[in-house]
This record gives sequence, structure tokens and C-alpha cells, in this order.
Amino acid sequence: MRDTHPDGDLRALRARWRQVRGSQQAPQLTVGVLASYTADPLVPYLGMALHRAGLAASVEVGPANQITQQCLDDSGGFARSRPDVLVVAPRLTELGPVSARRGWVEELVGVVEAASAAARWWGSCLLVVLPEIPDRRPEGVGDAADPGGVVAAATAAREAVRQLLAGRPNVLVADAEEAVRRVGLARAFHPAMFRYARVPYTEELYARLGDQLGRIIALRHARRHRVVVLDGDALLAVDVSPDRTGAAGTQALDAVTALREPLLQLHAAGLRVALRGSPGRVALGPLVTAFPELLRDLAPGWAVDRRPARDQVRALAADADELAGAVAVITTDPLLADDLGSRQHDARTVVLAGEPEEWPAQLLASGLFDRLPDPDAGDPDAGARPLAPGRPPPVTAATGPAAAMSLADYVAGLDVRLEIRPAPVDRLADIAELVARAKDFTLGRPSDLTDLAAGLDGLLAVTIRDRLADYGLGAAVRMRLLDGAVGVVDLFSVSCPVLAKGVEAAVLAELVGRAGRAGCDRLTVTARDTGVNGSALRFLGEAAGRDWSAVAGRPLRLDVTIERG
Amino acid sequence: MSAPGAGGEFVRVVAEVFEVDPTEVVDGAGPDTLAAWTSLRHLQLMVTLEEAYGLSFSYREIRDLRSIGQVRDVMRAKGAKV
Repeated sequence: MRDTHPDGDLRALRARWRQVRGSQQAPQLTVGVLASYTADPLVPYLGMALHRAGLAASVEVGPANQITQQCLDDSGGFARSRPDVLVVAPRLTELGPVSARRGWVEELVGVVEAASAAARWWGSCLLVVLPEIPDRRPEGVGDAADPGGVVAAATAAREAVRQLLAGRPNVLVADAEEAVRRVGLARAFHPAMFRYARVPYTEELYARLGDQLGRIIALRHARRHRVVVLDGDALLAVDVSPDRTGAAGTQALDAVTALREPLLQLHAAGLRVALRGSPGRVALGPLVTAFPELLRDLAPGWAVDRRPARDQVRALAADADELAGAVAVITTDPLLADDLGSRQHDARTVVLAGEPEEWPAQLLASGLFDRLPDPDAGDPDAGARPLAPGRPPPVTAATGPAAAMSLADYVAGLDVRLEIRPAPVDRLADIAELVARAKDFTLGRPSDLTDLAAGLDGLLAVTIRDRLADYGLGAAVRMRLLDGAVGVVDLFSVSCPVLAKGVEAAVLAELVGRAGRAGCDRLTVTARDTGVNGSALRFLGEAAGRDWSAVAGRPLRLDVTIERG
Repeated sequence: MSAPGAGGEFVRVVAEVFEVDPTEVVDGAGPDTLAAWTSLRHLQLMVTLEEAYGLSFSYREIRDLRSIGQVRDVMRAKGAKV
């Protein structure tokens, strides 16, 4: 099975994912992704990595920057769908600014514990992505010498989580820093996209990270390769044209030299090594001489004959009591993949390119060497370490995540602070942008800069911060007074980064108070169902069913009208 | 990175992102006329054009580009042949 790889054309890979997604039958595996940032760009790369591993998967991304809220919310999307694999990807800078980095350990451990409890409750395998080390350095190069510097604080948080999770059943760990290292710092981040839509990474970084996540999930859920077949026709071809020194056979010797260490590692890891080829085309001498350790494997794993490659591979798999899908064929011939087939139960083809000295790195990137750590080989205390101070203990499957910490407790602990003020004229453009982009929480009624400028009376700007971040302008609302008795709300938009923090409830309570103080006994809100503003409609629907009181206990009626279609 | 040299390639890239027929990719098309032009697809369009033409968009450009014609204008100003 051959497919596009993140080393190649990312556009082609994304297009291939659209084809795969469109043609695949019911998924074998459901993957849910919760990240502190916009993780949607991960989907095609994660999906393709799983596809390459033979797993038909569906990948769903939850709302950005709501990891803990989603994990604690029994009515949240993933609590209902209970994905087979829950991927949790926090970034340290969303758990507190660099200036408050001393809190990263506790914040990160808190997020991971909430995710761990939810995953156990939902019956999901948990995959935690260790966050990358932030690239901000307030002390510049001096950070290297500071035990409380950014690198040190980030490393402490990462290692605390790594130790915490080591040895826990049904828990996997990935590493965003590894993806950054592979791509290079200069090509890892996209500041303009982050400012626009909380997309922190370049497409190249998402591709690397998605590939890593897919490979890790495959280790747990996909069929493992148990037989490695060398394509002798391509790798060990008899070199009939002498090189400049007049020596023949140097091509096969170069190949054997390059492949020796990787093959020995695979052999040591328990994979059987076999050989296929055509009579008269394979230079066997270098192979036999250089790999005495493999002779035990090669004796039965030997198919140098005139059969088609596909039949040879099947026979070699059968000799090892395996199916062809457990075979990985190493070659330099890209056409061999077509001969071997491209269905999920066919052998996988790893096509090496370039010079032999480049092959070990290509083999490493192919995933053939991927292994989960031996749980008995690490720190014997791992998995039994105390949690960070002040954190609740992990829950059992019997108690559920809510027993450890409720969503309300978590939101209260965020210490969300709002400032609700009449909208300044010089911020109208920012408010218009917020209104235009708030798709999840909006009344669904168009309102552009002209409309806002014309209806400045009653327009309120809401700035928001909590213990994790200062979000600045995060909501806008407008209430007009009608005949001194009715407050009419025709604008109520909350930006995505501040959702699930209780902001909308606080803003509505403020509107009720203002309406009451203005002498109103009724507040009306009319919303249109846009198809994506379900969270706003649910919130308003629930709010309309409550009893409200404005000033001195005087009741105030909240009328909510939802326009459909 | 490919080296597109004509507007046809630009249309092909945009049509691929939005999964629409290339005839729908006209200068006047935007989020109000192309149903597929969602917030997420807007991001995908920006990223794909950056990849295909080896250029980069600023925050303001990403925020303000709201029609195919505007995208073309900004890309031409950056030297792309679209």
C-alpha cells in the first residue's frame, strides 16, 4: 500500500484525504481532538497517517481552547459521541502567559488529569500531546542560564506530564516539540493565522504533528508489521556496469552497508527479515556476508524465483504465519507498489529514494521502527506519583469525571473578569469584526460597521480576562429601550476564545440589571438559526425558562424568539 | 511548491479548496455568493495559496480578503501571476 506522505506535496496529501474520506466505508476508529488552539488543519494529515496504517478513521475536532470544559461537561459533544481515541493538545501559552510560567506545571497537569478522567469515563484511549516549548524568550539568550526561564519552565511542565502518564493503561503520548524540531523553528509558526483564527502552526507543522499522532494511534490500534521483505531486484541488483575503478557490484554493497544497522534493529525488535527477487538479478554475496545474524531469518524467508512479486510476498508472509498486510516491502522501485496492490490488506511498500546514505533516515520516517515503550522498562514509580498540589485525585470509571471536579467549579476557578462599557466609537471597527466572526454565539442577525455606527446607543463592548489570559474585546451586545418598558436585544455576539467561561451568562445578567434599572419589566431577544449558532440558541432557550428578577426583586420576563429557516 | 504561471492555475487551486466547479470562481465571488466559503475554508484558501505561490499573507490581508477579485489583486501586488 503506497500513499502520499508529509514529506511530499501537502496539497496533494490534502486532496488525497478528501478522496479517502469520501470513499471510505463506516470508520473502524473514531478520533476526537481537543486542543487549546484551532486544530482543524490536523485532520487530513492525521486521517492520512491512519489510512496509511490501514485504519479507516473519522476525525472530529472539538471547540478550540475548551479542553477542560469539554472533558468535564457531561452534555458536551465528545461526552455524547465517546470517541475511541481522545487526542488532547494543550499549548503552554494558552495555559498562562510567559510571565506567569511558574504556573504551567499545575495548569498542564490539571488539563491532563481532566482529560484522563474523561477518557476513562468515556472508554476512550487517551493521546496527550506534550506541548512545544514556547519560542518567546523575555530574557533573550539569557534564558538558557535561568532555572526559572521559559525553556526550564516548559520542560518542567512537559516532564511532569510525561511522568504522570507513564505506565497508565490506555494512555498514549505524543510530542509537539518533536514536530517543531523536524520542521525547524523558523517554519513552524504562523503568527498572522494565529492572530486571525488561533491557528498557531504552519501547514508543514500540522502535517508533521498529524503524521506523528496517526503513527502513535496505529501502534495501539493497527496491525503491526511483522515481516520486512527486501526487494532484491531493486536494492541488491547485480551491478553489470563497472564504476570508474572498474569494480562491479558496488551498488549492492552500498545498499547493504546503508541497510545493515536498520535491519539489525528491526531483527532485534522481533521482525522477520526476508528477501524477494528474480534469479540472476540479485547480488546475494554482500547480503549473506554482511548479515550473518539474519541467516536464520533468510533461510525460510527466501523467494528468489520467477513468481510475480505479489505472489512472492504472500508466500513469504505465509511462511511466517502472517497475512500480506503484516508485510512491509523495502524497495527503491516506486512501481513495485502498483504490483503489490494498494488495498488495505495488501503489503505496505516503503520506497527509498536518493543515495543509500539517506535511507536510514527515510526508514525511520516510514514508521517501521515505531514502538510503544515497554511499561516495565521505565521508572518503577511511574504512574504512582502524587498529583500536583491542590488537584483532585484521579477518578475511577465508577465515579465519572464530574466527581473529581465539576464544570461549574472549573469555570469559577478561572476567575473570569468582565468589563462591560458603552462601545467607544474608536473601537467600532473591532466590534464589527468580532460580530462578523462570532459564528458559534450570535443572534444570527447581520450587523456591519454601518449598522453599528447608526445604532451606537445601547451598544456595549465587553472585555474579558481570566487567570489564564487577557482576551481583550470578547463580546458585544446591544440593547435598546422601547417605550421605557421593554428592553430589546438585537445584538449579542461572543467570540469563540471566551466561550464556555460563563461570559454569556454574565452579560445576560448585566442586561437584565440594566433593563430593570431603566424601568423595564420585559426583555426580548430575537435570534435566527444560522445552522452553526446552536450554542447561542441553547443558551437563550434555557435562559428564557428561568425566573429573572431585576431591581429589588422585581420580576422581569425574558422573551426569546427563535426564527428558523 | 509549484510555479503557477497563469490565471488558470489560480482558478484551479481556488476551485479545489472550495470543491466547486472552476466556472464558479469569478472575481465577484465571495462568502456571500459561494456557500462553500466558510471561515474554515477561508483559512484553507489562504494557506493553500501561500503554499502554491510561495508568498505569505498578513493578518490584515487574511482578515479583509472577501472576494476572489480582492485575493487576485493582493496576490498580483505580491508579484504572483494570477
